[in-house]
Amino acid sequence: MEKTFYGDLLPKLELLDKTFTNEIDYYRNTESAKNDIDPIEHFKHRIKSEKSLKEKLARRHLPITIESAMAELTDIVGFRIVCTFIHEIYAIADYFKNHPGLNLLIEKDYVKYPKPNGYRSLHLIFEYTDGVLAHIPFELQIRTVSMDCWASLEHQLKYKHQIKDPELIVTELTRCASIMASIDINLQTIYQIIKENDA
Amino acid sequence: MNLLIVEDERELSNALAVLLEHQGYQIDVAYDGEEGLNKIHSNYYDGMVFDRMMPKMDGVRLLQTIRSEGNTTPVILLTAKSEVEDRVEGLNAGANDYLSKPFSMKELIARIEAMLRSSSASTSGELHFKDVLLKKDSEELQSKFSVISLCRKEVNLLTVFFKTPGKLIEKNICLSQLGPDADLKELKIYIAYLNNKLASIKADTQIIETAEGYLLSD
Repeated sequence: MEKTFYGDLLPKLELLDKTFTNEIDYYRNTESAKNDIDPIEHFKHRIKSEKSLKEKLARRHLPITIESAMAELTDIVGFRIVCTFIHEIYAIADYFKNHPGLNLLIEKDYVKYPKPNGYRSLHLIFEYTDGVLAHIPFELQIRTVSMDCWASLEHQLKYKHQIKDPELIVTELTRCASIMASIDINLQTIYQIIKENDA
Repeated sequence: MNLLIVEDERELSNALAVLLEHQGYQIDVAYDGEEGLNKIHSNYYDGMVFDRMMPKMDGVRLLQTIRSEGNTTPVILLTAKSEVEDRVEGLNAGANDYLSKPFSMKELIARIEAMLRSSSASTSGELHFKDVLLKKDSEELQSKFSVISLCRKEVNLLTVFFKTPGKLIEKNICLSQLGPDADLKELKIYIAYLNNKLASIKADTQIIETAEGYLLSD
């Protein structure tokens, strides 16, 4: 992937990508050791490609420069954690919100307040408070498997321009989102019942 | 569809059962008001036919009892009297229709069918409680913050609570909304599903359990 647009900043962004990935691995390992269950189903991370960075700046009518990207965009470095249950979303979020080296800049809770199309996920924008990585914002998205499954399908459809009856597809996708959210809650409820029985 | 006939005249009730079964209905028969009440507490019915005059508990008292418990199943009252006051008493007690004896079987069947049609029309659509909208047709629960899907059993159960908010609903009535094979353990899980779904859309209400049953907090 070409990232020449980033110039001298690239090593710093790569370090940020590595550093926070290590933080996630550490959380995952300590929680797995404590509870015998890996709280993370899967995890992805990326530095935004030059092409999609330029597209995003253009969409927002911003100058196509690295300076404006660093000043205006908060997801140049992005992480996505996919977990099994809804309560894990908030447990993971709390861990990083209470992390002494991190400062939470923005929190958007699309789990409690879904987007009109049905999109559900928790978005957190953090920055490191000290050191070489200080004050570079990065995005952490946390969602369940079913939220992730829905988002993947919706993302794929965005790039298919010749859909017959797009309004119907959008309505049906929104309906699927609320059915999947319903299943998430049923699974969470069953999890709670099992936990209560264990106690 | 399941129908319950509560009629102490055995010949009449058995004849009615045979005739209605022939029309494709599943029929359950009780021969006095108390037996009728027990059956209503332990089964789900789409419609019911009560005789006005019966031993142990008459049709009007049976009707008053089930309505006070939150049961909204449509009922036709059969009455030997055709006095205005008796008809009014029956309708006031919560009957959806009445028929004076003697009646023609054809008319009773036509009235049952009409009652079930109008019941399914009136129970479709939307129910509001506080800031929450229960959309029965699309099986969704909606607030200004979010929308979540429900399954048919959850819709049936929540409908009873939305029709009688703040009022205690006996566990047997709740159970009857989940179908004939449901038990109290299953009911408990469905109540938990509904409470978590109400919380997920930030609804300002929850279903509360008491020793006798459940109620929707208002």
